[in-house]
Amino acid sequence: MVTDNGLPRRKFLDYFLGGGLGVLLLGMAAPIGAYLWPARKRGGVQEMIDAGRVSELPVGSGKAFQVGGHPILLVRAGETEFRAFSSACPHLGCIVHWDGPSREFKCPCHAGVFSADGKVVSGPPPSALIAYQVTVTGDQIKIKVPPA
Amino acid sequence: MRGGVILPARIVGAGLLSAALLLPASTAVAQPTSCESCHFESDSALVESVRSSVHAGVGCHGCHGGNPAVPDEAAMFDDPTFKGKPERKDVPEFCGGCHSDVRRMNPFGIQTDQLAQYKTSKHGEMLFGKGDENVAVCADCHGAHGIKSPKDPASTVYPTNIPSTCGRCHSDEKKMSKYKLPSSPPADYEHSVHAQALRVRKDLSAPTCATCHGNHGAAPPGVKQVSDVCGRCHVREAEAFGRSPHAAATETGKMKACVSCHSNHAILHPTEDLLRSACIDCHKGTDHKALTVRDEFLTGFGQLRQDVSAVSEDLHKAASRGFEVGEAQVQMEEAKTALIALTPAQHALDLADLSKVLRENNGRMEEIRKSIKEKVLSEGVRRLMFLPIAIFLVVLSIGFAAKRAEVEQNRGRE
Amino acid sequence: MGNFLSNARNKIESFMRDRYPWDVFTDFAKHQAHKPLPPHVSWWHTFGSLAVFLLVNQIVTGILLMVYYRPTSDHAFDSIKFIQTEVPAGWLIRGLHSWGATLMIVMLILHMIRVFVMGSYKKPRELTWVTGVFLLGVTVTFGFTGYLLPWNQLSYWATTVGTEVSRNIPVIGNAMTVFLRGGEGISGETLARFYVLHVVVLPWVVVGLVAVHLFLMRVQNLATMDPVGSAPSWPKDQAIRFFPEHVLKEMSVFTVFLGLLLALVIFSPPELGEPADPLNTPAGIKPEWYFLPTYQLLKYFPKTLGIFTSMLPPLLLLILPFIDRSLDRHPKRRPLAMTLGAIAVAASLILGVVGKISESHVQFLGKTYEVDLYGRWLAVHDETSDTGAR
Repeated sequence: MVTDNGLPRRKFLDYFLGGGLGVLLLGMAAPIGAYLWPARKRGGVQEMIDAGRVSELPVGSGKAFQVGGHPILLVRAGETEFRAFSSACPHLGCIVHWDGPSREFKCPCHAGVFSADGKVVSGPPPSALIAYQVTVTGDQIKIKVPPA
Repeated sequence: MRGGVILPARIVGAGLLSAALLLPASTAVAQPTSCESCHFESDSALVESVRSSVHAGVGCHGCHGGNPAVPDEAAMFDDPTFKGKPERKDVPEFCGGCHSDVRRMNPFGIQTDQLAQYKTSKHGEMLFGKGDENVAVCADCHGAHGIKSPKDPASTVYPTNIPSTCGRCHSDEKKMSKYKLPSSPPADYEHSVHAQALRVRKDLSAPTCATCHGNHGAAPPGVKQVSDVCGRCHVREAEAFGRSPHAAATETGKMKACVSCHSNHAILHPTEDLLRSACIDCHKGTDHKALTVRDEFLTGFGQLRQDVSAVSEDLHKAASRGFEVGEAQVQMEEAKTALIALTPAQHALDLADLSKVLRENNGRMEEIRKSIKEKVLSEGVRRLMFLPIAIFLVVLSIGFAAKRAEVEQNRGRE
Repeated sequence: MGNFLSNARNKIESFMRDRYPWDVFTDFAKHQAHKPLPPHVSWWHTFGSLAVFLLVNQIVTGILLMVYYRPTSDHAFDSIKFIQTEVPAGWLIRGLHSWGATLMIVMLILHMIRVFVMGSYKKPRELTWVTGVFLLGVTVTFGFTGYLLPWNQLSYWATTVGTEVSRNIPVIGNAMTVFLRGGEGISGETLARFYVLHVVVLPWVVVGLVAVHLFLMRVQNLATMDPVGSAPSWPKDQAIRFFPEHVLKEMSVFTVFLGLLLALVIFSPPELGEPADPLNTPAGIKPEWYFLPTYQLLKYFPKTLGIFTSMLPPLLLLILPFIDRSLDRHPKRRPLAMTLGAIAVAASLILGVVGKISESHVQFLGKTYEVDLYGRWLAVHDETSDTGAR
């Protein structure tokens, strides 16, 4: 068998190259498959994002979270009143907090106060908080996320 | 059809009637009165200025009396209501004749306490108490004939014009020296951070002279003295100051609250330099305790600022390279908020406040750094993965080359 | 297993044979596969096929990017960010597309230089050369339109500057710029038309041109180094078969090249940058490297003259086979052509480097130089001594 001028060696090279090519093609196909697999359950950018459940957010309370580096505050101002705002103060970009008892947004930096609908009540902020659209379907609260 | 004709006539009639009720002599605008026909010849600018003023509808006789329906001089001298030009000391009452009258001012939604307020002011006290006619009366600030609404940018009491209006007297060294008052405040104000906000940022809510000193009265409503006025806008600073040892010193009169450090008219944007220089004005020489507190704050601020700028630089780079850093970005904003919020909080001079902010921010910075590191590490994984792939590709390449050599060799033999 | 496979193959073959002139197909394929190439076909001849590989890479990764990319000014940057940060292997696909584009131009230039040096563009292959020059032009247009799509500061402003150049065309300049941009400024409209050009129009143009280019190449076979007109003088038994010999050579080069491409993607990934901000021009806006020589050239010539000057080199490239009608192919016997070619390459390199360092500070031999718009430099005082004097 070995006498025939190194036939096994040649066979080995063929197998190696064939296998190598196969691995190469698989290696190319794998990232493509991964890439096409949905990255988010609800798709890409500018979508409604999940903001939790109605039952988890008592009336008068607020909830802070971020989407793509945007700080967002969701508050429940009334039984069926849900509002979402960018929590960046339009004055100097400080993060405003929801003050449940007084039903106001307060900026810790320069004492800016915003009403529950985001309007400036007092202080230096030049404009209202940026509002985002909120929809409630059943128990699910969703916020329309701004482009980053 | 008939109704269609009558109805508009009724509406016009009602409109005229109500206009006549609201503005005592609204018809004066439409037709030149006998006052105007003479005074226009002698001083046309005067008449024009009244016509373009907020009082255009009041007409000459609304203030000066007389009967505009009668021609020539009879309009003045034959009419018992004629007042003519008021004496300087009588100006406040002259304007107050209408402006203190609730019935007249109510339709315009204008307050009626200006005269009463004026009487409490230094200007009023001097005028009515000492009979000093050099002090400002209504017309000195508001103008006499061409008075504009305070909302009109051409008005002498529009926010941007107030400093120069007050400055007409208060910058005049000669006038001020009689009262032993400095003439520098209006000029000082122009250097201040407040003037900056008013003029550069066009922020009309920025304080001008009247915001702190009151406009008609001696002090703004709800303020005992001028030095209390800062806290009305700088709420957090005032609140923190109230907790500080300086609050007691102010009570006993050893210190003048805000003014002691920030001065009064030429208030500059406070920097750390102010913190460095202001304390030693009072805490001279060996007051180590006060200076230690100051130094702690200075180092704290320095460290915070350095941390925030270094970490935000890293974060920016990571974001630009295409890492997902949303969570860290929000934390960064919170860190910046804490840094900005420390500025008012420092007025309490409480080192516990400082160390709490420092501690919290260190935690945040640590978390941000960690999350950046993790992201970059994921790139490191890619780099490690590259090694076996590269080796595989090179070996494959050699394999192909070997196969080619073999094929050529075989062909040569054939 | 083997039995099953050969069975299936037989079935398919008989199916085809019943319906089509199957042997014509297989003969053609065999003929093409085993086509004998001239014996001097060297490693240098693989640049062209690497360009073809890159074309396939661009098409595949391009299609994949289109899945997540959104060509609107509101979402373009975010969608790229999404691809880069959230889509599994998104960084890889985008990196391959971005670096593939750059390497494509490198490969085309190398391929062109190879063809120039070996005199392969001469009669009877003038049209192959002409289609090649058009392919280079289309590829550069691909680069220009694709550069805007990430909608970041660099792409926005480089496109602003790039489209501004067309204003200098006499008479129609202004209209041309507005037409290119789809408005007065760079906007979502510009993004939309660049996108359409990039993913629909140009791909078909390129595929058509490549088809013609390859068809001509196969029909006329590769040029030898013999002078124009003399019969190809290589003995048939020395011919190199396209398959397997040449293909194996290409595979050998291709695998290493793939490694290089991956290394670039992994070790120097394309940046995301900052989102485009029409109100804020960043300092030092430069076009992509392959535009740098033209960019620098335009600075030396006033408006309309600049347009004509920068049109000259591509025009010369296009008509090269019709100007250079000497019969020799071997570079040793074409000293004038080689010298001129070398000067052209050197001039492009110098212009490119000057364009790269213009309006910036350069450190060289421990000294800092300030380079102005035109590439004149000035030694800057050492900063440490400066502060010492203060």
